[in-house]
Amino acid sequence: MTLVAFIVVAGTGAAAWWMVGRWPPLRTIVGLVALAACVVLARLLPSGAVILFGDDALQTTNFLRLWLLSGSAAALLLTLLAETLGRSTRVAPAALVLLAGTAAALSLTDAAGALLLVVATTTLVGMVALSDRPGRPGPELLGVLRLPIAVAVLGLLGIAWASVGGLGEQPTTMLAAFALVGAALVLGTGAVPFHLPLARQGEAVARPLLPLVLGWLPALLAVVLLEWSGVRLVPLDPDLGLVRAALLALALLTLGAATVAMLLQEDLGHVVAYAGLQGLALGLLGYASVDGSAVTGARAVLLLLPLWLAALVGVLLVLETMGGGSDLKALSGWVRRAPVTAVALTIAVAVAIGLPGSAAFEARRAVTDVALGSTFGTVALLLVVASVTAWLRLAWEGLRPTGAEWGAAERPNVEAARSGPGLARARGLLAANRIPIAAVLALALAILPLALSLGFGHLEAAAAGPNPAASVRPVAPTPTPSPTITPQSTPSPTTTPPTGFPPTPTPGLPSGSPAPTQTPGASSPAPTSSIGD
Amino acid sequence: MPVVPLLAATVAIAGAVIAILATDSRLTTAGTAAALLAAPFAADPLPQQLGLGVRLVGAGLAGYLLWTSTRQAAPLLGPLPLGGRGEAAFVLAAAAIGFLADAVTSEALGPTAALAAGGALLVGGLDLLAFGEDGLRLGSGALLALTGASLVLAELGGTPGAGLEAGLAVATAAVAGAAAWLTVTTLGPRREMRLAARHGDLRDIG
Repeated sequence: MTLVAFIVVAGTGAAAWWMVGRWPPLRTIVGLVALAACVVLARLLPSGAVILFGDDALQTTNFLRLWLLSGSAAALLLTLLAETLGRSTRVAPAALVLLAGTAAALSLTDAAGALLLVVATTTLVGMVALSDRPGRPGPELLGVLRLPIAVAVLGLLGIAWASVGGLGEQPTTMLAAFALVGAALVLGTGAVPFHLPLARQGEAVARPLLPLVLGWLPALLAVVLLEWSGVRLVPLDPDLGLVRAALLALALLTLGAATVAMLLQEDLGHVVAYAGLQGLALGLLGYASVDGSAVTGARAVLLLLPLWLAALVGVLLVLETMGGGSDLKALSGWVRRAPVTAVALTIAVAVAIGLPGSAAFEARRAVTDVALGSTFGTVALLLVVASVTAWLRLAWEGLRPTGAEWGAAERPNVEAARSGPGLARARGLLAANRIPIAAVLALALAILPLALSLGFGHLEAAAAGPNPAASVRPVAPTPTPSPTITPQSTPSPTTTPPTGFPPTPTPGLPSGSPAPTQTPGASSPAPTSSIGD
Repeated sequence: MPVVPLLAATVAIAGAVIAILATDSRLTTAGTAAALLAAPFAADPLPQQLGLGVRLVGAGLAGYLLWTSTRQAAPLLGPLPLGGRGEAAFVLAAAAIGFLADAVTSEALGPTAALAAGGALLVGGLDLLAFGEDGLRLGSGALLALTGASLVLAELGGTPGAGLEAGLAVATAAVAGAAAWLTVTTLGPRREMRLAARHGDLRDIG
């Protein structure tokens, strides 16, 4: 029941945050306490626990636990950073809604239900994020509903089409399903040239919320759809022809266009946003590959993406506060004034691009090599690596002489501790040292994905494990035998785990549901609970 | 064809048509709520009790949220780009295609009431979502589109499980909440609903 407790704590935390709106300090406390509780509950989450819900179930996995633990910790650090710098106060409620939705979506054994939960989460997070905008809302709010509903409709129709009794395994049917779900993924992850709806959302929200809107939410959508394809399409190995080629081309185009855009942009916020879109393109690449190992690699990439994006946004917030803006040309000498932030940026970029030999790099290579072959895969990797030039440009600006307009340095202000009595003194000390505190928080945000990519948390094993959201329910009303592609032998839900993981029965789980895979350090399966009949 | 799914599909389609034709926000809300509440019963066989219950709670909550938001606004809505009747004709055409689908396809798709209602709600919902200029119509369109797509899924993929019904209920309530928020926060100085720039009347073209 730890999973239910997690969802309840995150959900009620977000609701409580709204209800204490008249006293901002209490809001901050409620948000931070709820996020800290989420970290603890995510740590306690057992792997393999099953909660029956009618004929479906909520099932915990190592991947879910790692996602929730790292996500809760990063959200807590990001909230602390934003509060320290006096930036957006909506990070905590948005993150709590996101965590509750993620916990439900990634544990549900029904792909369509999981997709709908992602849509609900996206809508609510979008509402919370955009409600922070000053002035009268305008047409930019249209995307709050239009984008997630378009994604949901395309995804649901694709899943439906793949489930037609008797038609579900014919090549043309699988092609249509693959194309529809792929279109949902293209829109939802902002693949070029269909990136404008997502980019507008990113532009409209406050900077501290960027990792949620351009990182966690699209990555969550991609994981759910990837796992559906990993279970529904990969075992059949259908001929997906031109649609597959088109999706691969879009992913490759996004990788290249994002690198070019990062080089051309003058605003650091835009550079960070395009880095996020580039990472999401690897998820599309994983989907288009229709291969189990690519799906596994893409899951690892997508788990890390929001974490390094949050670290980059942390760096961006510190630099904006120090320099009064995010124009690259106005950041002269920032490395000299903010060495800790420079270290944080270096680490975040290293994880984003991938240190050779690390789990992040290997996952990336697995995705590109399987999807595009060794030659084009190397090209795709080089496109990602080429984006380092955008960060080198930022470093170059930072090593130049310091601009006269620069504000407070990262160095702690000791004098502030000596003035004023009691609480006022503490407040003064905090206010005077907000830059160094924020820099340390940004560094902590960067270390989190680095630790995962270097092997802490057994990222590779967790990503290779089963995902309950991949469970599909091809219960046909009037089944008709189909001779075209290898037919599925059992009428029960098709839940073969991704490549390399033999299906083993899970106690209490509906027939055919994926079995949990234990990784080193994981706790033993928890008992089965039941909701409803 | 069983009577209950047929009646439910008829109510859902009528609700979608009313939501599109209405220029009064209360009628739009009523049509949307009727469609949401009737849609689960268009499936044959009916969803499990747990799923059905969760779904009805979600639909009821969505209707309440929309109704609450419209109470704070002026009731009149502007017409849709084709005046409403054109859009309603598309909805009815989609419903007719759904009803006839079983007869014209070589592969049996199962009972057609859900497919007809699903197609109609999907077309009507996407129309409102694309051309709606206020939070209420956008929300109504989003809810109808989601419900329509899920009906198509239930029709093609078999009886939906509790997981899908719960996901749909949560999504319905969340979308209705966002629509209510959009409606209230974007009210104009005379409490009129307006979010996007008004489309031209497409009937004037040519």
